[in-house]
Amino acid sequence: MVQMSEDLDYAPCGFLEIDASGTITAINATFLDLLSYSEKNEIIGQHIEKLFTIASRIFYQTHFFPLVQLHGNAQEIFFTLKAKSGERLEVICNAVSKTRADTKIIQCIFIPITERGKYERELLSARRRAEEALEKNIELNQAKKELELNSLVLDRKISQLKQVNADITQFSKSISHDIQEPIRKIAVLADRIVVEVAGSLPAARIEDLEKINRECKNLRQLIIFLDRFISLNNVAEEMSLFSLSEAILSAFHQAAGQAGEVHVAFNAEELPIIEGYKSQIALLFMNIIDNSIKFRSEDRLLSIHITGDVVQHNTYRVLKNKYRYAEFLKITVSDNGKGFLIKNEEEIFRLQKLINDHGQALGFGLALSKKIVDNHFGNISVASTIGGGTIVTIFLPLSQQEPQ
Amino acid sequence: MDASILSRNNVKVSGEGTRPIMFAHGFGCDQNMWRFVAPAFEKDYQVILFDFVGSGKSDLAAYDAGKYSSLRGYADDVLEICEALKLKNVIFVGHSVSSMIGVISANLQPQLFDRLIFVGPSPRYINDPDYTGGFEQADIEELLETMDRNYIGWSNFLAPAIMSNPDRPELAAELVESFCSTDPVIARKFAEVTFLSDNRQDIKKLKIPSLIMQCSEDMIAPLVVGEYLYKNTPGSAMKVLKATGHCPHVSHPEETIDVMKAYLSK
Repeated sequence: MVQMSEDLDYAPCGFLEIDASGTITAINATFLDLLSYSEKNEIIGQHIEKLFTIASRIFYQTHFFPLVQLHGNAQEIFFTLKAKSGERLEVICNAVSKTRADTKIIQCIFIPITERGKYERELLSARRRAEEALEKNIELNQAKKELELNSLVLDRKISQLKQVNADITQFSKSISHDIQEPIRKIAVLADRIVVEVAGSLPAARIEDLEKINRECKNLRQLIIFLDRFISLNNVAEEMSLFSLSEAILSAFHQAAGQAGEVHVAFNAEELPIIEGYKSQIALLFMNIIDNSIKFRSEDRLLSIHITGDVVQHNTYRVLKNKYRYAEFLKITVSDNGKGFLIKNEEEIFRLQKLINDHGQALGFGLALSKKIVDNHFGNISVASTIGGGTIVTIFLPLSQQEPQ
Repeated sequence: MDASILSRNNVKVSGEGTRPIMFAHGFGCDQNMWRFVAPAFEKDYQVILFDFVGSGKSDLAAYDAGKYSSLRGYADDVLEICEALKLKNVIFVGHSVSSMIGVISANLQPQLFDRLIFVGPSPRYINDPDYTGGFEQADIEELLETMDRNYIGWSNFLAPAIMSNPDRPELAAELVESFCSTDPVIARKFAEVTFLSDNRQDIKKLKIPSLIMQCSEDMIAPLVVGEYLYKNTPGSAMKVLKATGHCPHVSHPEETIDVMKAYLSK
């Protein structure tokens, strides 16, 4: 047993002595009081663990005990004690291992750190916040790096696109100016032959010359169309807000006017104001209505019905697994015309003449339509059944503003 | 021999025998824990001591939060040490959480092991409705807080800076001597992995004979947990020691050595 002087008994810190197995062999009055016990006998003979919270017991077993045994001492170990009253008491403990009369003992002093403990907790929570902020910062830097990388890729793509666009413009100029002229000359020469030597040629040759003339006319039309198609790439017009109902109605009148004597039952739902290139949108609906008129069924009155619904639609058109929903107008134009066979949905929007089963050309209208819808970052699709009519479905964003 | 693994885990090989006995330390310390026990085996065995990554004089740079977020990561290191030293018929002695690291290793590569000896083992520390582990989740959370409070002088930002300051080696030396030289950030993670792991399914699959060394009055691995292990681990034997507490190899080395030798002589 330790010789407990009055000085030690009432020292300004708690004092405890345990044997090698952790059993308490001595305690001073100060510590007894801190733990709100009244008799030393309540403590002596108990295991030191009994004074700790469960968490501090684990720490005692896994850290404190091996440390004191292996190093002979331990400094500034934080423990939480449990007083007799159940109250928790935060303390700092210093301990030393000694041998007295061939018996190993451990002596410990305990100092309560109630006030300092609050400060330490604040420090810890500040450190945790700092660590979280650091982690967040690392994440942000990562995101920034990715963004920079993506910007670089985007920049290259844009530069490639600009080059392609310039090439196409050059190509289209060359076609419209350099090819138109020889075609015109061929037509003029063919005409001259017909006029000047018609009498001396067999009828079959005359027919050939007329064929040359027709083909030249077709070619010139094709060139005019290609020119118009390409010119849609270089939009001079500013985007504006306009009434889609009005735009469609005037497109209908224009298409019907071109067709001449045709009766059409036309009805369109009230459509909202949208943002876009007004002249292109008018051209888009003129094309679609023109197709409906061209391929109407002879045995019934042509009816064209237009509906519009505002729907949520993904703004991302190319990137996979990217979503940003915005308000789009879903427009359907349905007719009761002859309809046509769609073998390949993508093919019908290509720049080529499609011939329907009745030998009529669908023309380039659909390719032009797709181009216009693409210019507005929308989608277009066509469904048709022979004898059952055609439905064109178009998604157009209500607003062309960049999302904030 | 892969030297990088041996330096990573600060592997120390000694002894005059050929039969390998490998001592694995538990949570909270390093291979020093075995200093009263390991020498008793040097005459007849090849003794292998090592530090888990993050403990003792292991290579802290080898710590990978992902790998060591599971005891599986620690088990892989045990297997790599066996492979680097070309060990066969290993007697694996694990203290505390290392017992379960031994079980996972032996389940992965049973051909490497001869016997397993568990000192103060527990397959699960936290109570379940139908299982008594001895702790509630809140106790473990308070333990983590206690660890934070004890390592308060070790700022997470400061420690690496000090450790890598070649002009002031005494700082590093001082830090290394404290707490069996455990890195506080890693120690905290090791505590989480240890006390939140659940190895009750792993012990059922064990194919290697094992000895459970159960201390009297061990609050970390109480008797009821030892009994659960004994009942659920195929091929296990159990010995209740007179030693109290959680570290009989430190507090009662003679009894620990005697029990181990008696088991190994069978």
